[in-house]
Amino acid sequence: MAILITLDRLLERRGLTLTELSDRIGLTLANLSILKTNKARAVRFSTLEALCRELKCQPGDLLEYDED
Amino acid sequence: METYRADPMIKILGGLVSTAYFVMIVGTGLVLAGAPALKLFAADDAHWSWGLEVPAPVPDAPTTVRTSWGSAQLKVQDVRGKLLLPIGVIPWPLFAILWLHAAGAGTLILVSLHNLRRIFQRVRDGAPFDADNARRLRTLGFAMLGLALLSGVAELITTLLVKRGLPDAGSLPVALRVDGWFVLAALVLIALARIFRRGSDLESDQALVI
Repeated sequence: MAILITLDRLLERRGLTLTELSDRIGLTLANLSILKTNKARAVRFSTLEALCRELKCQPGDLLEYDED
Repeated sequence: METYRADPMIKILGGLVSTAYFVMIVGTGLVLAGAPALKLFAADDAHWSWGLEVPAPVPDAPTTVRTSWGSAQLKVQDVRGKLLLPIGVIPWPLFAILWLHAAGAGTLILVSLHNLRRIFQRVRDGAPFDADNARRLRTLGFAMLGLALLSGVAELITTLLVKRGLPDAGSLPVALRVDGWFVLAALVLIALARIFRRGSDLESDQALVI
């Protein structure tokens, strides 16, 4: 998939673990892992909203386009 | 997301199918083991007979009947009978055909019931669009097709053999009869299998939408 989710970078910046983020936004750890490892086929706006709220970022900070 | 709760009707129907499956296992076993045993050891006992479904001879020409609206033609057709032959008198070639038919039909019915049981279990578990369910529906469809053909061929061969043993059976109709409704139901199941396969693919995709 050419669209990458830069969750690692943002979690480090906020000092949060994946488990803590999962508790805060109500997504299971399994689903967050799917996002983090770029295996997701699509992201809902509601998920994007929750991530941006907890990680205090813009949607563009979370998404990266990699041609390769 | 709401927690899935199985429809009570699914539980009831699943229970009925499971019951039918186990009854069929016992019944098939009894017939397949019991019939040869009776033929070998109780040939003189006329109490035990095998029922053969045969077409019955019917008059060719229609009969005129009077109705309150006027005269009408009554054409008698598709009359069937059951020939109850004591097991001891059935010649071995005919007995073999009957036994093979019972074995084949019993197997196909058991395969169908087994797959249907599994389908109900997956639906009860909240996963109807399982790739396995698609495969099971296809198997069900082909089993029904097989049953329809097997029954038709077995009846054809049986009728031919019975005609030899019945002196007055000259007009016994001999034809390959395949139940069209069975074939239609089988085709519907095979088409449904494709739909479920697509549903399974969509559900897999959906699982990766976070």
